[in-house]
Amino acid sequence: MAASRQQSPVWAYVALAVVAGVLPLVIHNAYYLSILILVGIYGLIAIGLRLLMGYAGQVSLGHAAFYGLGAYATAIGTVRYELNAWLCIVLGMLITAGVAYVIGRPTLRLHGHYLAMATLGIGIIVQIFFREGGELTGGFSGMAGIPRLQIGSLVFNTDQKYCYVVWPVVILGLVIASNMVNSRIGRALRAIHDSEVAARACGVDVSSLKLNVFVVSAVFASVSGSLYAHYITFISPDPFGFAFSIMLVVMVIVGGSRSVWGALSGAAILTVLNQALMKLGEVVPALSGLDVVFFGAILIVTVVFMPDGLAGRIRRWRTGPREEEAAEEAV
Amino acid sequence: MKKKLQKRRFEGVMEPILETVNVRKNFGGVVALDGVSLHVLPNEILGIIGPNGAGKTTLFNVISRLLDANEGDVLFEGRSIRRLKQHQVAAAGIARTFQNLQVFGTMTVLENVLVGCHTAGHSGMLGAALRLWGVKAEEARLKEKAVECLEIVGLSDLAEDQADNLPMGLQRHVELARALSSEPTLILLDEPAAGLTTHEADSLSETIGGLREKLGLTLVLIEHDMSVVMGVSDRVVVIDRGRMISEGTPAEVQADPAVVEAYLGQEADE
Repeated sequence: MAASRQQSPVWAYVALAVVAGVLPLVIHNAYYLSILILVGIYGLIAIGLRLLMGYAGQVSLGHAAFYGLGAYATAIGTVRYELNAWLCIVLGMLITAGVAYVIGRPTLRLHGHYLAMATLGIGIIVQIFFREGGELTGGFSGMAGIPRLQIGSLVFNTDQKYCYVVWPVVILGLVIASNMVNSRIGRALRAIHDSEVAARACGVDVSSLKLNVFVVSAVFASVSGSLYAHYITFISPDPFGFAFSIMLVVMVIVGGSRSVWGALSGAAILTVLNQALMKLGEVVPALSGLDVVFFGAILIVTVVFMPDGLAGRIRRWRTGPREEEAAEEAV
Repeated sequence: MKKKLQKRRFEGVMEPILETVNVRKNFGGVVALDGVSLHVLPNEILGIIGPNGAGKTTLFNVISRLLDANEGDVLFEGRSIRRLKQHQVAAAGIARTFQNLQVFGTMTVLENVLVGCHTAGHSGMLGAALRLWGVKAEEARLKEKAVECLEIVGLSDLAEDQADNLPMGLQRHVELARALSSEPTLILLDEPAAGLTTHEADSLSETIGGLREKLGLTLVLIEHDMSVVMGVSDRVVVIDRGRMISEGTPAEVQADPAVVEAYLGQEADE
């Protein structure tokens, strides 16, 4: 049996672009539009996180912090210093990349899940910085008055317009991630997964590649954070905590860490479920606050019944169970 | 035969391509290598034999930098490689295969060999992400190289198969092609004939000989299959309990009483 190809066909991207382009025109309900935007924002982080989990074999428990760094860079830059919004997005990317590099460089040389521990720590530190940043970050109450993004005289000041900012970025993110996976670098990363010793013997600099992926993955989160700040126009430390880091990891696991598309679908499913749970909590107050339990249950069900995630499950349907079994027997 | 004689005649003046100088390696209290000094000449095939646990694979691991030697030095093309990082060894020109197979199981045969070409490429993360700077041209060049290497070992038909699904003998060929694709000057083969049928072992001997003749490679092989190692090697080194106990042409080594004793001693132990 030929191994499944990693490269997604161009029509898949075109199809996504068409759907993402048409949906904002046909959805008039403001609430649904906001969900569409959130799916894009979370999806972008999940795509980056999947690169790290699926290809460097490492987990980050602090991606919410990188997301927050992007958001705060945008907020502080545009509100406090009145810098150009696009410049602030780039500054956020650079700062986040720097922080990720400093955490990743020592920890990714070690075997085991030291990165998870280090990112857990940095996640907490960064959130404390947001809370205790005084004048700069606005402390617990956060910062308001973040301007809308604009190109020339076109201001993206409605949800409908903002979809056309978020989704092109998401699709660009997908293309970039998929290009990386299908390159010499991606191949080397997959090789590390199968045999680290042999990969090294082939000249693959394992720790430096893992570090690169980690930094790229953090930058995805940063861009997403900036987009979030420009969308909500108000930020506070709350959304950038440990709980959101965990939710991101669950998104990737549910979607399947071996596929670029999986991360996006995982993000979509969890975002929609999360919103549904919040609505349910409003109607039945007894059920509010149970979302953590619910996500825990989803995580368990996924790991037990579809260890390759949703994307793996779909691939299995497509190739048929018989081939899959044959492959397993051959091993 | 004539070629071998010639080589022996020039041995005195030819610079060795690889030299281990008094290499020692301990694992805790266990001495795996107890001062091994050997040399390999350019375009030579050196066989390394010895009972199980003699330290042969440890020696390969020291040469390919998977392990640090406690003492001694390894010289490749006249320069010490003791300070090289593991991933720099391939770029220096040393490739290897593994005794316990280390193919990239979830990848295709072709992809396995493409990873072998890793050092021949230069595209980085950013270039790959944005498909910049002739990344496509580089991919095409690497692929051509990989296909060539698959042809040499006779795996062209299986290029798109998943490596895990191949029988052991063919997986060894995948490793060989992968080693070849880094354009090495020296290849270390760790028990290439293990698990092969007699027929497969014969064709392996032929392939190894061909690599030396056609590509001008130098090869060092650890091997238990005596017909393979005695058939292809110019010179054979015998290692027992971390020491080199004999060295010479296959015929000389086979006649050496120390070698006989090492092997018989081991059989008596078993």
